[in-house]
Amino acid sequence: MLYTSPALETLIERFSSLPTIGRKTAQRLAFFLLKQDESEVRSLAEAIYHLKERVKMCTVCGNLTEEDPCPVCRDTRRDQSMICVVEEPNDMLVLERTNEFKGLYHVLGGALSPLDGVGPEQLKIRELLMRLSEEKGVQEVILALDPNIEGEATTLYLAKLLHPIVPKVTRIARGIPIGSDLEFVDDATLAKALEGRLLV
Amino acid sequence: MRCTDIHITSVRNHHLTEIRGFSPGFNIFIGPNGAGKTTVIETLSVAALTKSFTGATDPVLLSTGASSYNIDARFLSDNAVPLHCRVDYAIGPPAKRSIALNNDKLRRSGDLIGRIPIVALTPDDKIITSGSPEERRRFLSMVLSQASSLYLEDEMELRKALKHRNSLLQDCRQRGISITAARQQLAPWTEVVIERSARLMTRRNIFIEEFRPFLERCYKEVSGGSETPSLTYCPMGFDETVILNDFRPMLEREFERRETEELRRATTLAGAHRDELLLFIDNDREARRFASQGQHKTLLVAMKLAEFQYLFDATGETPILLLDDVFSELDAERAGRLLELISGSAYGQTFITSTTRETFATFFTLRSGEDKMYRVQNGSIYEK
Ligand SMILES: [Zn+2]
Repeated sequence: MLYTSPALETLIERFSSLPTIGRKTAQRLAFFLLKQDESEVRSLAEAIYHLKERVKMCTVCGNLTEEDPCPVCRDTRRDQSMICVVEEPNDMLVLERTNEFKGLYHVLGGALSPLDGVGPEQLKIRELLMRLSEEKGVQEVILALDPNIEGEATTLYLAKLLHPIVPKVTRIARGIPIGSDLEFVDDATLAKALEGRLLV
Repeated sequence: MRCTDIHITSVRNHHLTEIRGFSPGFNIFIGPNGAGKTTVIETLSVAALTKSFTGATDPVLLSTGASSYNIDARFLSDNAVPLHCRVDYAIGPPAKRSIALNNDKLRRSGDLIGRIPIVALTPDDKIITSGSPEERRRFLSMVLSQASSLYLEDEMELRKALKHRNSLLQDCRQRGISITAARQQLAPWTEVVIERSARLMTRRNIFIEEFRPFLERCYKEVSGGSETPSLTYCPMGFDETVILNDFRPMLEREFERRETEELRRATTLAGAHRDELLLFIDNDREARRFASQGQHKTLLVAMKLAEFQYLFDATGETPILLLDDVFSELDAERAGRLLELISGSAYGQTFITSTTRETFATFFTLRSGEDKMYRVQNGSIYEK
């Protein structure tokens, strides 16, 4: 039943269909926008519209970009001999923020998850293999997938495929968050960190 | 560990129940069937283990007509460190459940399990000694996941990996794909199942050796006789009396041997989820088939007391003992011995439910000031 305007109801419906937003938050957002200047609301609407219009997938690495290939792939100063494989574009942003990795990326678009119907064909694995056969200079592929069972299975699957065609295949270590006290690290993380211990 | 206070809102027929100042010794709840005695100790297990020992799900725990329940329990460790545990559940959609320890919201149930060791014995536990292998695996899981959070994590990951692998097997069968193609897709999942299984098996194998002396001693104490029980760990059902440290070769061999059968049945046939634990009574007779009613009861009580001793040994913390309607199931002699045992200094806080006071009142007088008795009626508690 409509108590107010159909336009308001529609927007509330739209908002509440977004992840993590419940009906109450949706209402608050809608009423907030109603109080804003028209120009404010218009620029928000445009930002949403441009998202769909301008953002596309880099055909080389799978990163999100407005220009294809993406800035990372086009940057010739980056180390072309290393490719870091991640699950989502967001993981790439996180790694970029560290300023530690100067190589290239490849975004898989997820991890193997048969329960959700995600097999190798649903991920950008064929694209990765194609890329490696075209770009001959790649010396190392770093597998930086999520530290869960799906990420682990995907790492194993990729390692098997990559070993014959890349000189070096590595995976990121699992460790203890910096700045955390050993006594507050959960046992599972600590045990995994022990497993991956290094010589000093 | 002991529980000092509990506050229950909308769990089964407890609309609002608050008990403060539990005894560090016995806390006995007396009331007719359906009065809500079990619910009190059930909420303790939810607060400590994140789920009920009865296996009841959240919608079942929720009072009729209520839209959310809440359990707020305060504990004190043996070293008097306070722990405050709060479980909130609300029907949705989507349903929401949150657990907070000392007001910090926990990300995973694994962060809580083991902090407050609990041993529960209920009439439903009969199936541990008499039921299918799954029941004894559940027993193993209950004990070991409280003793080690790494074990719990491995077990949860194995369960997840098996779901993925089985769904892949079903998919392969449906599409009728070749064994070579299937093998390539299955390989990473086979590997994670092998890796987790090998670790779980090693731990189970060690556990059985550590658990055996506890079980032998507890059985003698409960039975009052000289009969000696025994138990054998059978990885994937193999009754090989070999001492194994590395279960990988065995797992790899099994996966290879059962490959075609797996594809036909579309389910994973090798792994730690196929383990069996065999229990024996006098002269190596398998308990499940040969034990008398009395022997089954003695064995079950002994298993639970041994679990208590083992957890105390492993965690350095005295577990809380929950005995749900246990005394009506035991004959007078065994009941008396059990009460005497758990009154001993090795045991700490114990919660007991019973329909009648008389069942055990003859063996036992409340230690004044130390033990407490409560009357339970229609979801309300009255201290006696
Ligand atoms: Zn790119």
